[in-house]
Amino acid sequence: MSEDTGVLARDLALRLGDNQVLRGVSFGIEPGTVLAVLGPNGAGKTSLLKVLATLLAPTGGEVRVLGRNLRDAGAALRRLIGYVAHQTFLYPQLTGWENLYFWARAYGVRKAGDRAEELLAFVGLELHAHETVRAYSRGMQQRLALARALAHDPRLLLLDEPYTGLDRRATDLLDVIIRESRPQGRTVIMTSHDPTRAIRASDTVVVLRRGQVALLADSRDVDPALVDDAADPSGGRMVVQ
Amino acid sequence: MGAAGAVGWWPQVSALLWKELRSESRTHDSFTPMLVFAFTVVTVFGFGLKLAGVSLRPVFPGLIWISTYFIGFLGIGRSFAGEKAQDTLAGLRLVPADPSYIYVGKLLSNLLFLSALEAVSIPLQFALLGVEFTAPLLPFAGVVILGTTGFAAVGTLLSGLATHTRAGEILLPVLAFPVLIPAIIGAVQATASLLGLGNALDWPKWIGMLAAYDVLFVAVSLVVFDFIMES
Repeated sequence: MSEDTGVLARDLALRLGDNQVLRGVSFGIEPGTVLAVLGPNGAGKTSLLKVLATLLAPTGGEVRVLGRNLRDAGAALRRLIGYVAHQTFLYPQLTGWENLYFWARAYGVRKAGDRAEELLAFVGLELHAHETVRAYSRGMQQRLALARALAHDPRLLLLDEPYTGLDRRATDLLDVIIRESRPQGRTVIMTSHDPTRAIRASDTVVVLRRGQVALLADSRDVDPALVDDAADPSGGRMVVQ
Repeated sequence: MGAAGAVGWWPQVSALLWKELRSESRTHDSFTPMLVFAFTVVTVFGFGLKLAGVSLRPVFPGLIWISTYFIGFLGIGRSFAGEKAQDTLAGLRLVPADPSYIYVGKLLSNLLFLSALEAVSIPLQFALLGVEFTAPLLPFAGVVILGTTGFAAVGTLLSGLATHTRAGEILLPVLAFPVLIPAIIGAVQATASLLGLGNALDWPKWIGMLAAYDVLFVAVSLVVFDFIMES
């Protein structure tokens, strides 16, 4: 894989207090591909995404994201990353349009107002653009959160458990976003508790177990049962390709 | 798709300032409680001191600044509490700019809210407490601006720090007042001098001290804010 365009992790380690969260995590993906990060609770999936989003600094190893070293890139790299976390990062007292306008301006998007309208139409919320987010349903908030992460047209999209709590419409929208990322050259890294859905949506699968890579494989070669085996601490089998 | 343009530092500050003003215009979370508290404080001070038979003019500079700072904590304490409650602070940290943009955006919005409050509360204190305004207007306005800036500089920084603690807003005055003692002394002395209490020629010296205090604490805050956000 190309070191200058995709995402490459070598012996990535993360320690939070006394807890070694990530231990020697290594993987690489090409630009315009979708990586699913699977594993049980506490395996390190969310922490891995936070490292890639620059919210947590790794304590060991090297990560290159879109050709830049994660340790040195800082703001320049954050401009290229969109992140959908467990939190929506939305302000309930502002309208949907105001939320998108604010985040687009914060990311330096030109014509932020036009961009907000474009995104509201994309996620099907144009009729609710001037309602406060407090009045939105959970599914509408999830769609707006996806729009927020896309406000600056990121080259790397990080999705932390994106399917959790989504209604049908938001699920369909997320499938479209992931599918359209490939031709646009956008790299997607998503965590999931749902191996079947994640494997179907992705090109590559990484299974984490206690902060280590237990399985790294092409999605076409992986079935959900294999994922469960790799993630199960009592399984004893480690498959790393 | 919209393209992200060249991102400096001011675009983020102005975006955050816009968000703060828009939020406040919708919720009145900061300004309304501050205004109500201002009326309460002025009324209580006025009645209490008049009942005690105390002449208000000699203590008036102290009353103005203590009440302004107490009232200000209501608003400044909300600066980061809202971000914490809405889980948006991590989102602000992801924005492609030096994290000090958060401090500056919050500082400017706090200054605007406090200035708007003072435009009401200070004339109100003169009127309700029956103290004649005899100070030269521009130097007096300068003292108010510098005293408020020092308070907002320290308060905004420590509000960010207090967000990481369980006590949160309650802890803010406890942390801030010891640091604010030089600013309070400078503001009270300058105000007293301008109102003809004590040495009437002293005020330039106290204004210089306030300005130095403001520059120092804004500079220190810009340096340490990134560490506070990461902690």
